[in-house]
Amino acid sequence: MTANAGYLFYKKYYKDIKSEDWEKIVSGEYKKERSSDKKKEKTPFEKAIDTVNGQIEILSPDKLPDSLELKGITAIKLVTTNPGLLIGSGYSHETGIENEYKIGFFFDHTTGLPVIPGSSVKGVLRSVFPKPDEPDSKQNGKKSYLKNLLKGIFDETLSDKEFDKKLIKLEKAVFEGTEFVKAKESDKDEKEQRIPMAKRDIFFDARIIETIGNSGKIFGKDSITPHKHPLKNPIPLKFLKVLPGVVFQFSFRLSDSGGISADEKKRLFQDILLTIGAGAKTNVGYGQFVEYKDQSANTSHTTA
Amino acid sequence: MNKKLERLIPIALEAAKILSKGTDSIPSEYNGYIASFGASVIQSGLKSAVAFNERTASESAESKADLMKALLSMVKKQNGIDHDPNSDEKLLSYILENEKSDNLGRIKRQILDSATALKLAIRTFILVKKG
Repeated sequence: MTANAGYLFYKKYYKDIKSEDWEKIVSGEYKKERSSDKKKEKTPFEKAIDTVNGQIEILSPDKLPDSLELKGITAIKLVTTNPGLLIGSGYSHETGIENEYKIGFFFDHTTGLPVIPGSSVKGVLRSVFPKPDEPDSKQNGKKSYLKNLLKGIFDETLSDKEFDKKLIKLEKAVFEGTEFVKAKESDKDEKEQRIPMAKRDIFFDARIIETIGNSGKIFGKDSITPHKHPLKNPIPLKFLKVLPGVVFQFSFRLSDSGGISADEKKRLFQDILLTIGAGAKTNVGYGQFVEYKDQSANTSHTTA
Repeated sequence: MNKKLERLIPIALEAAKILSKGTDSIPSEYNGYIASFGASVIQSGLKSAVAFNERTASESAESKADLMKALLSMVKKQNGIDHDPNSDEKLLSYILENEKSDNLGRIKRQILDSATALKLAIRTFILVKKG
């Protein structure tokens, strides 16, 4: 079954709510009525929400986007792992209605499929580079991590100061599109200048290209249960996630710059994504990936 | 800046006082809330977006309902209606009234323009982070 999940999640979800229902929801009267009589029959809009929840959760697209195998595009395929991926949790989606998803989600507008924006991918990769306003311990930790990843790329005999300088050049080249060059051979110092757009690294949205298992489904439901008070019942908060076993293609247009080659950048980015993950709640296990191994021998998955 | 927005700035600066509570600073959370409000309206629809922000028992760091009050005061001012900032009137109620009289399209445009102007006005205040 296929539909635009973004339309279902944001538009169809609240379509059946009448004006008088909205008044009750916002004033808190709905919540009072619901909690005073839990056995009360579901209202039409509650039933509509249950229906839409079901439609989203059984969604399995007939056709997924093709894997981008174009000249000049570097692709990294990664598979989501348990418990899944949550992207776009900063969007609002809570009115207080029972059984609704409480946390927002980000969908591609046209296809309705989950997509990790290129800006988010770039942000995740840049987040492992040390920032000058961070505590020294954090900066040193990041430098140590990157030193390990860049073994074999940067000279291992470099002093700390020389390594820091190379790291800054790499960061500026990849994320800001600037490089340090000498105007003339005889110049002592290098000046920062912009890299032409055609030679800058481009970060594309990460898209779903395949599902492994799950009968082709992409979405699942999950919940977090804050325990605010030890003597009060915890309230589970339901949210939508991308299931484990969904293959994302991270695409880039990479150039040799910042002291490393495009191939070396691809390996660096893959290592970072496999370590850090993407999306929300990465500190409790969401948004983690493993390397994709071609499953063409496995008949239980959906491809483009 | 377009003329429509320029005309709204003084109204927005007045409305921002609801958030600053008479001081020259505003909690920095409001900057994020108002920046995402317009996108929320486009994504989920006007009534849903306002409901997300106006519902009681919201657990955000600052009260998003105050932001909706500020927008309500701006919309009413544009329509020549007096608004008491201390009243409990909700923006959603105002929207639902106007839906009955077929004014929803106009009100939606006014709310979106007001949100843009309020966002710019908020940034003229000192934005204070909690903690």
